[in-house]
Amino acid sequence: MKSFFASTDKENAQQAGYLFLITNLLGFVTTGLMGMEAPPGELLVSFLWGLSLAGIFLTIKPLLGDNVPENWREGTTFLAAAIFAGNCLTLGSDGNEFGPFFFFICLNMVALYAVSEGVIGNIWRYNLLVGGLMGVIFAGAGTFFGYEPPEALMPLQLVLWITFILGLGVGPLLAWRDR
Amino acid sequence: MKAFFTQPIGQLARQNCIGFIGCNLYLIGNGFGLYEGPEGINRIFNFAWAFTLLGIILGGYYLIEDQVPEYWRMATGILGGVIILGTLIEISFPEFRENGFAGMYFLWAFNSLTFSLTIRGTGVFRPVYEYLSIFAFTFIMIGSGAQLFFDYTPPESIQPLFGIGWIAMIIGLGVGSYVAWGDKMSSSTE
Repeated sequence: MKSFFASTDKENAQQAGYLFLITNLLGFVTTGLMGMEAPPGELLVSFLWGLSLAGIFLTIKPLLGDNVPENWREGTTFLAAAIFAGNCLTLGSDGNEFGPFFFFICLNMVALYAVSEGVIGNIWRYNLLVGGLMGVIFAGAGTFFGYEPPEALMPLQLVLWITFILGLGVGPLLAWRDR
Repeated sequence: MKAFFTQPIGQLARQNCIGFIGCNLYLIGNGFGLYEGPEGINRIFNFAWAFTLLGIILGGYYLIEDQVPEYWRMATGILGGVIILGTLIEISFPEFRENGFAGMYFLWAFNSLTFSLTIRGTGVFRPVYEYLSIFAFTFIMIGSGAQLFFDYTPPESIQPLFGIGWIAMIIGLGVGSYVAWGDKMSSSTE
């Protein structure tokens, strides 16, 4: 048990990355997009989603190494703490209370795109950029101006979700594998 | 774009000081009814307020790293996490939009007061900013603590006093940090 809780940055990041992919896949299947009802344990999946995303951000500084200044260690800690606590607070809520947190995550995806050249593969970095910018626009419009996108724009949100999974989930995971 | 996100901490902190002062001026004008900004713009300024404050808090440890133990670094991480979390909660949850998230303000004021008292007299901050910070954070701590622990909301008649405390905070923390970073950067290049 000690080895699990004292795992290295690489092990931590890989565990968080796989968990993030699994929880997103489960979320993808159970949000109605695939026509399925939400199964019992949906809240647990949401909780694990926040946990895995916080884990990914906590291991970003060790992954980027000297690409970013030392103060990124605290910056990513701020972010991970906000994501984890925000996700716990909004578990099971029907509204869009997580919207501001998602906006903040997307803003940081754009920053991650900018500083990850040579560390994360370009294809995944472009996903970070596209997903981050779309997220900033959509989540920002909802958060600050109460804008709700019409049904016709649902496919765009689906694209956003996929770029989110690829950019934040697959990109860092593969970058860690190559370490 | 990379240069922006990886700039030296001193430069980052100074930019955030200017942003923090700007956000506070807008929010004070709005709070005291000088003008009524659209709700969406107010929320953007609220978010930007927290974001710039994060930069100042992040830089705070590096500004005084020779004066305090290493664990202060983790403490600033925790405080930064609380500030951004509290502000996002204020934006998310309607019940906190009107009166704010008192717990966040109390913890921030308590930590900032500790920060100010610890480094008082070390020459990092100029004395006028030190005293303004101590005055301001004592005020904010009492005000937010009264609301948080005793559900006490001060009457309208003494609201201007809080305005004075808030302005002292802007000068003490915002201008004070800007000047302190300027002093530190110029002394390190000499």
